[in-house]
Amino acid sequence: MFGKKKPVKSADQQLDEAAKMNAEHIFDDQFREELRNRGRLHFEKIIGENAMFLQQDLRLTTSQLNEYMKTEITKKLQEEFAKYEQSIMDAKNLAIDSIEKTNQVIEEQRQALSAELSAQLQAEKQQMIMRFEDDMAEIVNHYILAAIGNQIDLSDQLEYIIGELSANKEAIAEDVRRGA
Amino acid sequence: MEPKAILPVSVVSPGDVARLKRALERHIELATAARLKTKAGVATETPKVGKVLAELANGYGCDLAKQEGQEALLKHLDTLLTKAPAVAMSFAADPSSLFMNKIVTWLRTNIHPMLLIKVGLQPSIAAGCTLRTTSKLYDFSLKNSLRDNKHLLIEGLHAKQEAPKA
Repeated sequence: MFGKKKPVKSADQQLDEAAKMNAEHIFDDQFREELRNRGRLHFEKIIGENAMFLQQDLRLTTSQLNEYMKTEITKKLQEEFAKYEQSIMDAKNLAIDSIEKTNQVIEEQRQALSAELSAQLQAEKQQMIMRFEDDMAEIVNHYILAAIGNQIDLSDQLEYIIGELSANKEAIAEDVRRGA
Repeated sequence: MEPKAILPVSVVSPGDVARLKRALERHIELATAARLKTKAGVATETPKVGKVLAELANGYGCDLAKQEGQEALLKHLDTLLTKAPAVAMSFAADPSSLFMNKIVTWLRTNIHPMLLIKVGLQPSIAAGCTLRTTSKLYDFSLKNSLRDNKHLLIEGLHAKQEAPKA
């Protein structure tokens, strides 16, 4: 190497060449493979970490979303249930009012009917009593006639008949005089 | 009509007077026939007069043996039939002669001596009688008495009805 004189190279050139040679020597395939592996591992580690973060985020988001959905749905459902309950209560109150009014009307009609029926019964009873009282003389007379009609002797009545004639003597005499 | 005599109590109704009138007319016919036969020399018996007719003739003072008496009584009977006042009496049962005699006697003594009574039967009155003049009806029946005293029956019923409550 020192026998032939070689053209003198500058120091920089020499350094570049030396670096080039060393670099080729240092960054050989093995080293590169090692770097590649290390890079891959590092990349995988970063990817894993990110995936984990992403998973955590996703879980958190999902959890929050679930919670939100749950809250919203519960709220909506409660609102709807409250409305539904209110509607049912309104319908129930309406039905109760209607039933109460119907009951009131029925009760009023029942009372009116009862009063009318009672009045009619009373009137009919009174009418029957009056008719009975009016016809009582006929009834008793009929009974006497049926019971002892054949046993009544005219001779026993003579005193009564003469008595009645005497009591009406003047009136009969006046009638007879006018008739004659 | 001024009464001249009292009618026998056996003469009660206008029907009795009409019957007596028919009997008198028959008697007059027989008497006339007897008179004619006597004039002709045929022996005949004087027709007999019924008891009631004789009693009536006696009451009026008419001699039925004479034609004038017969005609006078006939006239009286006609007058009775047309002018004598009449009333109608109804009883629950057929009255006996004795009963009617008493009623007729009372009526002719107290109401009018020539009064004639048409007797009827009305079982529904039960007891007592009704008397109808030309203008008015007098009801002396038990039926009417019960009707007049209906309040007593009603009071009795009410008293009976209230008795258990007390």
